[in-house]
Amino acid sequence: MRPADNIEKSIKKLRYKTSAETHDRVLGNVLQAMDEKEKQKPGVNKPDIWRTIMKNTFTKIAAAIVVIAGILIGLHFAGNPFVATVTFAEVIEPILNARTVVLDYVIGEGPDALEMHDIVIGSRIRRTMSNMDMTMILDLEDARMLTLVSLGVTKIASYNDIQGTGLEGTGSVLDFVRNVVSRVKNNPDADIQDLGEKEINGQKAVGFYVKGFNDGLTIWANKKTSLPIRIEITEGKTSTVIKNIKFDVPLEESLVSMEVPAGYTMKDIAIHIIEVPAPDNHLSNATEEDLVESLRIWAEIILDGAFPDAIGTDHFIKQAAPLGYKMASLRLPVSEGEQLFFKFQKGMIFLQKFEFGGKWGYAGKGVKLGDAEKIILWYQPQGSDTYRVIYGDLSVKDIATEDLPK
Amino acid sequence: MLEDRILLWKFKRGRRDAFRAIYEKYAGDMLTLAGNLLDDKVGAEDIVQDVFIKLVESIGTFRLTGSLKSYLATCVANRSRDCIRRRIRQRNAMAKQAEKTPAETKSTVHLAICSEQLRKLSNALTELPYEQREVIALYIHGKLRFRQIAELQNISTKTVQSRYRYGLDKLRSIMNGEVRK
Repeated sequence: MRPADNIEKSIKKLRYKTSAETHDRVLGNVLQAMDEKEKQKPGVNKPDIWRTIMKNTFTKIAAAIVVIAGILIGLHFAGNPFVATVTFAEVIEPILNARTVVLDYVIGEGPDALEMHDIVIGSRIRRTMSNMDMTMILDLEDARMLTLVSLGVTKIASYNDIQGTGLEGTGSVLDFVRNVVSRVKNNPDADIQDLGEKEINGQKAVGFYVKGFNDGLTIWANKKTSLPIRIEITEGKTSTVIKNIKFDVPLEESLVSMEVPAGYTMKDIAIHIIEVPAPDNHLSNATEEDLVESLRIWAEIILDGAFPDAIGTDHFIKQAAPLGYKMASLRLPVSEGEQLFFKFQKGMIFLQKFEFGGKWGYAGKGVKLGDAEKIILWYQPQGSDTYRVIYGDLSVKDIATEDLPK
Repeated sequence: MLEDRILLWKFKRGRRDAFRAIYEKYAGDMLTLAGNLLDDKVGAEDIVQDVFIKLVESIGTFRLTGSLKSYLATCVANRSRDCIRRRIRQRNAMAKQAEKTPAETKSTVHLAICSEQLRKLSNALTELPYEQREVIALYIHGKLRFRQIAELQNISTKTVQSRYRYGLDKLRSIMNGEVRK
């Protein structure tokens, strides 16, 4: 073969190389330029979240968080029989019948907990979230949502349909509580535990606890007025606290108006409702592979190569916003971002199979992605004598119970 | 692509290690591209340095729309073309003094040629019209598509393909001529 016959391959071999000294010198010059640039500005250059938010991925995620939070809360609280008492009936009366309710609810614990503020007027909700400068007006009857975002002087509004499981999830934590206490009220065999008294925010409160299969609902009410002042929902390791509750306070209907307020510009922003499978078959599609992928996304994208200190539904939910933020910052194409978020979520769905009643454990705190020696998660599949374990390099093996991390 | 976006994101947050990773990932390819465009080892080094410094300076507003490698290759091509034009202007202005090609200057950058045949090929490349050499270098070393090169050169994709084909034909011709000698 003549040399010119393979001319393209030959050109590929025309590689230039540089000495290590030159390489270091050039890199040094560039890094020096970087230092000089950094001296000229007050701080590290951080992406402007509000510039990116309307690039639509983040907005979608923001909406999805609300949806997912609702869905997860409702997912496992299946109807176990409860017993009603007169006192309890007094406590739940305003929950069931108040036309307006103002409440805050916190999903998870600690400084990263996701906090939402709901103003409920009939079937409409005005919702704001602790970590997002965004207001959502939800019309549960018409299955529509109006999203209002302020970006400095720019104010943007968008309408979106919320249907199917999305609507269920967006149906508010109050609806969930109402459903539970309705079942309690109508079931003479239901068991309600009297938790006695304690002081909450300077008020003497009486508590009641009702238990489901893998979940529980605690209601603390003002001893004098019988009005609920704090409601705690636990599902496995996920906790949700409803607080600062006010019933039947006079509220302006305009707070939940679906009209676009003056000064806002309408934008067609697609809010993506993540369709979590229905409660009856919600685990059917999620597999161990999804969990592994979810852990990879968590470590690689959200935490820069380290596994989280803890995992569980509440932790997953809290990561939705950082993941959305990362995706917006990375400027992933929308479809890629959606896939990423969906994969992340699916792993969480798989984990719930064990989180709510199964045998599992997590030891990923401090472990770096790629560490093939350390076990980060283990769970026992139904009917199995051994455990499936996931290592820091995301390989998966079967091991005996005695070999599990202590 | 995702890896690059993550690196850029970290870099924007002030992470030097992320920039170092970007540099180490692409500096070699960019040096080869610039070297083949200019046939100037020192010039290639300067251009690569300038391109990365420009990236540092503009990172606050930098928006990656395609691949990072394509972006860097495009920057290298633009600067190389500017460099060539500058040289031509200098040569015209100083007609009496033939421009000494920087390729002959002593440099710490070396063309990693391990055979006489490749050395001849390298010399043959310098005989091509710059437009053809640029297309070949961007396509083979810059990994740009013909469509991207067309946008860069502000010409049609067909013209880019023609330049590529003519360039390779000429190289074959030169190389076969060398072989027959």
